[in-house]
Amino acid sequence: MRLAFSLTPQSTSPLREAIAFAGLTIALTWLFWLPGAFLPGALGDMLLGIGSFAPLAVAIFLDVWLQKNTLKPATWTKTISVRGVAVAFVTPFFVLMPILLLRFNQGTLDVGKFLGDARAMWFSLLVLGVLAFAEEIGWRAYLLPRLQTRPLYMTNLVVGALWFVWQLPLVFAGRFNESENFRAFFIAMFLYALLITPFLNRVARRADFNPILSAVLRAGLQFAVAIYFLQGRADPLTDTFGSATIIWLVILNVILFSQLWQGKKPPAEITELERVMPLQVGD
Amino acid sequence: MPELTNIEAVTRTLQQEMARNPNIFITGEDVGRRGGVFRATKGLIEEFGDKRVVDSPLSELSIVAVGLGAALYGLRPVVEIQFADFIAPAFNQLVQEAARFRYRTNGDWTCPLLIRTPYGGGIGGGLYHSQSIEATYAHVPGLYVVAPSTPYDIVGMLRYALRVNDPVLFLEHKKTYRLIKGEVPDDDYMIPFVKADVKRVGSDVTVVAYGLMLHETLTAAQELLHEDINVEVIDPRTLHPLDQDTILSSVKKTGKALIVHEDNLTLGLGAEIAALIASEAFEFLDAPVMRVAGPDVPAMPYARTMQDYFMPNAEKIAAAIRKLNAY
Repeated sequence: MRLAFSLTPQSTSPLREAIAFAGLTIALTWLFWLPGAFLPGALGDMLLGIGSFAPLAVAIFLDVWLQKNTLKPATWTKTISVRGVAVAFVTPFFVLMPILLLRFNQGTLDVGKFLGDARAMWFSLLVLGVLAFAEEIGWRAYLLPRLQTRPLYMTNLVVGALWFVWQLPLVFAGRFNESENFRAFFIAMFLYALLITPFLNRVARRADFNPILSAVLRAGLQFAVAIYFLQGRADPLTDTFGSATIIWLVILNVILFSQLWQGKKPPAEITELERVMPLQVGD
Repeated sequence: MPELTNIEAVTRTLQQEMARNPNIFITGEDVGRRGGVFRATKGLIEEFGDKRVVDSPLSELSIVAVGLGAALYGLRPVVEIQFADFIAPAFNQLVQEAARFRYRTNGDWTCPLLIRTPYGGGIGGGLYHSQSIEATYAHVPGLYVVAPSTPYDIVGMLRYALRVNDPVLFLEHKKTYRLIKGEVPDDDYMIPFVKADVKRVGSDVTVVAYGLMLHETLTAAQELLHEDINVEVIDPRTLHPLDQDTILSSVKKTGKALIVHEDNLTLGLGAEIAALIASEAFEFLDAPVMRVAGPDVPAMPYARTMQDYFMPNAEKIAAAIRKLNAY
């Protein structure tokens, strides 16, 4: 297939690479996810699993095609800390705290059942982690650096929207949608994608586009959702609890990103020179 | 909208700001009766009197020291060093004292001292009236170094400089004083420090330049359009601290960077900008960062031919851009 725009080592640009990545990733993933989402059993699961490696494959393909060296796995272990991994893993539980607390308050959060199933869930977490890692290498380590010159809110919105489009086969597949109201489910999933993306982008940016932390966050997120699923009806996003989660995510976004969206740096990113020269004006 | 030269922009803004704020006063050699060696303060002593426009002895050390004391006392002194070449005797006052007040007092004391000085060559000024001093002072934490290059920027940044609570070294390229003209709005706009300006949008090569070299670069960029080379020109305006984001955004877009200054090449501002690009945008680069700068000889020879050899110009800049574009 001939691309509508030139994409060669001589004619490439970050934006072109970003567009190419998004287009190819969505196309390649859907090749596996469309049948996988609708096929029951192990075959469907296998296709979904293979599809999750599409972002990684596209990132590697583009790097080879354009003779670049974007992905540097050797550096990933150098830009990560135990504290970072711990924060990334714990964050999802804060994200999903409203529904867990509401359930607990309602008396339907069965901690004993959760602990009983924990052994099986740890294995799931491992699998989720591997798949999330493959996905995050593409979305965070490859795509995000190419959009970093754009305004932060724009990058978050664009990546969030693309990420949602990428997951459309899963949204439309009956096996993942147990909501009675598909329209509400669709909107909720869209909002969820937009609202969680800033967190994933943020951890990746802070770790110099290291995809490990965002993969841990993703896996933790799915793990936390799994805890909820274990407790009963799998419809966390469109009922009262789900609405509370969306509202909570909005609040977290406003709290955590308001400074960044206003162009202000968080305290940890203020340089020594900026502290010495705070640029104060008077009369 | 009136059209002003760079020197008119300085004079008019000083006049307006002195009328606005009675704490502003000017001191320096010949700034009063003579109106400054370049006439930047022409007419101000008649309007504001000799208590606010004060002729000083020929002693740069004392000029800056008086300003320093007045700033700590709560006034807003504007001191003029007649030529940047002569600021060296005031180095101690500027670097050891003024730049450190906020830090050494943990922010309890500030030093709103504005030092204006003409710099740069190209006017046959020889060894003592042509130097570019920005790199020396841009190395000093606590001291803002700004070099606006157009009437619009001079007005906006001079207004802002007269509100900043820390010492500011305000560099004015003397050759642009009457060479460069531009429209200036009548409103009281200000241009905050640490905000670079994209003077020309392009896609092939980023050139960072300021002072006279900004205008030489813009001339070169216009010429290169005929060769299908689209140059993006960034004017940092504030040389210390640098607006890193604007420079990096542009370089990440074009993948190629050239820094132009007439100051000596070695350890000039271009070295710092090149290091910044190498450190923060290395993976976006398609070519080595290049510099066009004055040679590593004392600035600047008096003989016209030697001066021309020393000074970067549109032709030399265009040649470097062509080389970079073809890389």
